[in-house]
Amino acid sequence: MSLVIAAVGFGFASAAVLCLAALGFTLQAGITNVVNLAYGTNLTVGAFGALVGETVFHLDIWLAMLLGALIMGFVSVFLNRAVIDPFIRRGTRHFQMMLVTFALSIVLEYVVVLIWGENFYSYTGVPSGVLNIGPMSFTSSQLLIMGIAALLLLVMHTMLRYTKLGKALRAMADDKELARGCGVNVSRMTDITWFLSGALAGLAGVSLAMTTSSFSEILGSNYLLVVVAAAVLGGAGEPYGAMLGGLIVGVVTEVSTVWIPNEYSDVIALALLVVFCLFRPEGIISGRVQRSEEL
Amino acid sequence: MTGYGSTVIVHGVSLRAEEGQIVSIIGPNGAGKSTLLKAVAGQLRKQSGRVLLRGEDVSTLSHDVLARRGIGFVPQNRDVFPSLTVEENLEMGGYLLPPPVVRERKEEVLSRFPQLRPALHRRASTLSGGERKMLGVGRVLMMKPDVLLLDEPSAGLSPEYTQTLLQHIVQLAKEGNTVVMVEQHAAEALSLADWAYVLVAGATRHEGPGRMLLENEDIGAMFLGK
Amino acid sequence: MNTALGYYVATIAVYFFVYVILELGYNLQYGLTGIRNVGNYVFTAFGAYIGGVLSLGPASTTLQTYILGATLPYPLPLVLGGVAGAVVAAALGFLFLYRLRAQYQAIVTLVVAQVAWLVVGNWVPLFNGYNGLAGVPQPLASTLGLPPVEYQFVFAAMSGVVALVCFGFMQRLARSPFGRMLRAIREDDTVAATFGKNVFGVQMTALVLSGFMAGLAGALQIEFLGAWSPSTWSVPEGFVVIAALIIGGTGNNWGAALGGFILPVGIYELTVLIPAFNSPGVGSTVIPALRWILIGLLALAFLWFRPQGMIPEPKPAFPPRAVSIGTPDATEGAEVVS
Repeated sequence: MSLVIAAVGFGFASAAVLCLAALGFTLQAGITNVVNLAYGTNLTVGAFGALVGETVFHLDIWLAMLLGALIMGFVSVFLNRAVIDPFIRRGTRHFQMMLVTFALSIVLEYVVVLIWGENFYSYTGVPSGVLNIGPMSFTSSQLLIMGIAALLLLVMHTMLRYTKLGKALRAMADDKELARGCGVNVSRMTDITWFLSGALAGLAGVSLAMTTSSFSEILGSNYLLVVVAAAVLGGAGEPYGAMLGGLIVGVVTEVSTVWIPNEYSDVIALALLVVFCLFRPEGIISGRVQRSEEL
Repeated sequence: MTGYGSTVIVHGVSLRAEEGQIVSIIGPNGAGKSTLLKAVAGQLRKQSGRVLLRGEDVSTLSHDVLARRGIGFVPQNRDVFPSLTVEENLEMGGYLLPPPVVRERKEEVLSRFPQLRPALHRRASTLSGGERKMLGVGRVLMMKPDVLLLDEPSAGLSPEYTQTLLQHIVQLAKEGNTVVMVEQHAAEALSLADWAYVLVAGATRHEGPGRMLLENEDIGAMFLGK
Repeated sequence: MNTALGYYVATIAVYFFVYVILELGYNLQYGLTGIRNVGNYVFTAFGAYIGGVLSLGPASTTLQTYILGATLPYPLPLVLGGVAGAVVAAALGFLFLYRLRAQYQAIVTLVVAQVAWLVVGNWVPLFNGYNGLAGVPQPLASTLGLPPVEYQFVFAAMSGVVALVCFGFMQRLARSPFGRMLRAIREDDTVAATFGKNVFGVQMTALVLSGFMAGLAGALQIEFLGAWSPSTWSVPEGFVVIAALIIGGTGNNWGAALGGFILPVGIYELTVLIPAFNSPGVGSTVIPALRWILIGLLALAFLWFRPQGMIPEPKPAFPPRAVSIGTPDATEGAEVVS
C-alpha cells in the first residue's frame, strides 16, 4: 500500500508537468481546431532554450526556465503566423493540416539536432535534496515544479474565468466568427493564445528536462502523445479538462508502475487515449452540466 | 435611442425598415432569405448592392464593425457561445462596453427574459432551445442595437416558446427597436409585421403590410395551405 | 563498373523499388480510400521482423532472442512478411476504422505505432528489443553463389519484379469498379453508406492490401540490409512515406512511384550515401539533420503550393459532389448543414 502512496506522490510530480503541457495544447487546439503534432517539439525547444540561458547567459535555473518559456512563446506565435494560420486561412483541414504540423515537428526537431547534435544534456543548477512526506518522497526541484505548476494553473484559471481577456479567449475557442461579431480582436487574441500555449509548453519542457536525469532532441516528441492523452481525456479544447486530464494521466501512469515495468508506463497513458478516442471522444467532463460552476 | 429613422436597403431585392417597425421576410426554402440577412449583417460579401444605415453607406463594413454601429444580428444556429455560461455570454455581448454599463444592461436583459436568471451560471450548451434563443437575442441586446436582424428565430422551438418569443419581438419593436426577421412560420410572421416581403428564388414576389399579405391568395397557396 | 559504384547503383535501385511498393500501398490507403493512417510504418516493421525471423533460423542458434525462428525456403519469408503486414493492418483496422471520428483516426494510428514501438523495443524475447535483429541471411545467396556485387544486382532485379507486380496490380485495381468505390467512399463515406456500400468492409480490404504491400517492402528491406531494429522504423521514417506520396501525387499510382523516387531515393538515400564518399569534415549529425529539415520543408512547400502533388489524380469518372441543386442560393443550404 505504501508503494502505491509513494507512486501517487510521483504521480503528482509528473502530473504537474503534464497539466502545464496539456493546458497549453488544449488552448491552441481550442482556437485552431488542429491537432498540433509539433507541440511535442515545442517542449524540446523550451528545454533547449533554458539550456542556452544556463550555459550561455549563466542564468539561475529558474530564470533559465523563464527564458525557455519566453523563447518558446515567441517561437509559437511565429510558427502560427508563418505556417499554421496561413494554411488554416487557405482552407487546409483535418488530416492535411495534421500533416502540416507533422512536417513542422520534423523540421523543428532537426533544427535542434543541427544546433545541439544528438547528444544528452542536463542542467547544472537543478537543486538536489529529498523531502519525505509520509511514504512519498520528492526532490526539491520536483516540489518547486509542483509549486510553480499549481501557481500557474491558478493564475490561468483566474485569467480564463474572471478576466475579460480570458472570457474572450474561451469565447473565441467556441466560435471565432461570433466572437469577432462581439468586437473581439481575433488576430490579437490568436497571438496571445499561441504565446500562452507556447510558453506553457516551454515551461513544461524545462520542467520535464529537470525531472529526468538527462534530455536530448527527442524529449518532447516522445512525450507528445502523453500530452494528447491528457488533453483528450479532459475533452479537447477544455482548459479545465486539460488540467484534470493531466492529473489523472500523471497519477495513473505512475501508480501503474507498481505493477507493471517502468518502461511500459507510457503504454497505460496511450491505452487511456485510445479508449477515450473510441468511447468518449468528448472527454470526461464535457456533458456534465454544472462543471463550470464547480470550478 | 437616437431620433433618426433606421433604414436598410438591399438592391435588386430592395428592403426598407423604419424605426420601431417589424419587417418580416418569408419565402420557401432556398429563396435567399437567410443569405439576404447575412449580407445585410456583413457576414457575407456582397457582389453589388448597398446597405444604408440612416442614409449612410455601410455596405463595405465587416460584421464586427456593423455590430458596433448598431446592427445586431442573431444567427439561426450559432447564436451563443455554448461552453460559456449564460452570464458570460451576456458579458461577451457587451464586450466593448465599460464594466458598469455591462452590469446595467445585463440587468435589463435579465428583467426582459426572466427565464435566464436562474440559469445564469449554467453553460449555454445546457439550455433548452427557447432559453438559448432568448440568450442569443439577449446577447445582441447588450449593445442596444438600432436594428435587430433575426434569422429564423423560431426554428426548432416548441409552439409555446415560439409565441413567447414573438411577443418579446413585438415588445422590442414597441420600445422603438427596428426588427428585421426571416421566418418560417409565415402566418405569425405576417400577422405581426408592419411590412413584409415575400422572397421567391432570390427576388421579391410580393411586399406590403403584413396583414394585407395574409389575405393574398397567391401567398395563401404558397405558405398558408389555403 | 567498379565495385563501389556497383554497390551504390544496386543499393539505390533496391531502395527505389522498396519505396515504390511502400508508396503504392500508402496511396491505396490514403490516396484512393482516404484512410487517415499515420502509423503505416508499423506494417513495414512487422513485415521486416517476420521476414527476418523466418530466414534467421531458430533463435537458439544465434545470439539473439526472438519468436518463430525458422529457415523457410525463399520466397516464403518474403510472402509471410507481407502477410504479417496485412495481419497487423487488419488488427489496426478493427481498432480505428470502425467507429472513430475522422480527427481521432490519425491520433489512434499514431498511438498504436508508438505502443508497438515501445513494446517491441522493451520486450526482448519478441524481436530482440532495441538491439533488433542482425545477421539476417540474404535470400538465395548460397544457392546462386554469385560474387557480392552481382548478387546485389540480382536482388535489385528481384525487388524490381515485386514492385512491378504491385504497380500492375494497383493500376488494375484503381480502374476497377472496386477502385471507383474506394474513391466514392473517400469523397463521402456517409453517401456511400446510404447507397448500400459496406464502407467498413471496403476500407478494411484496402487497408489489408496496403498492409500486405507495406509488409513486403519491410521484408525486402531486412533481407537487403541484413538487420532491423526499432531505430530503423521511428516516427520520422514513417513521415517520409507520407511526405513522398504528397509530393508525388495522391490518388495516382504514377505519382506514388515518382514520390518514391524523389523523396526516399533522390533526397534521403543520396544524402546518406554522398558524404560516405567524401570524408566529412562536419559533425556527423549535421548532414542528416539538414536532410530531415529539407524533407520537412519540401513537404510543407508541396502542401502549400501543390497539395495535389507532382502528378495529380486523373479527373474523376463522376462529377464532384454538388452543393445544391436548382436554387440560386447555394450558400443557404450549405450553411444550415454546417
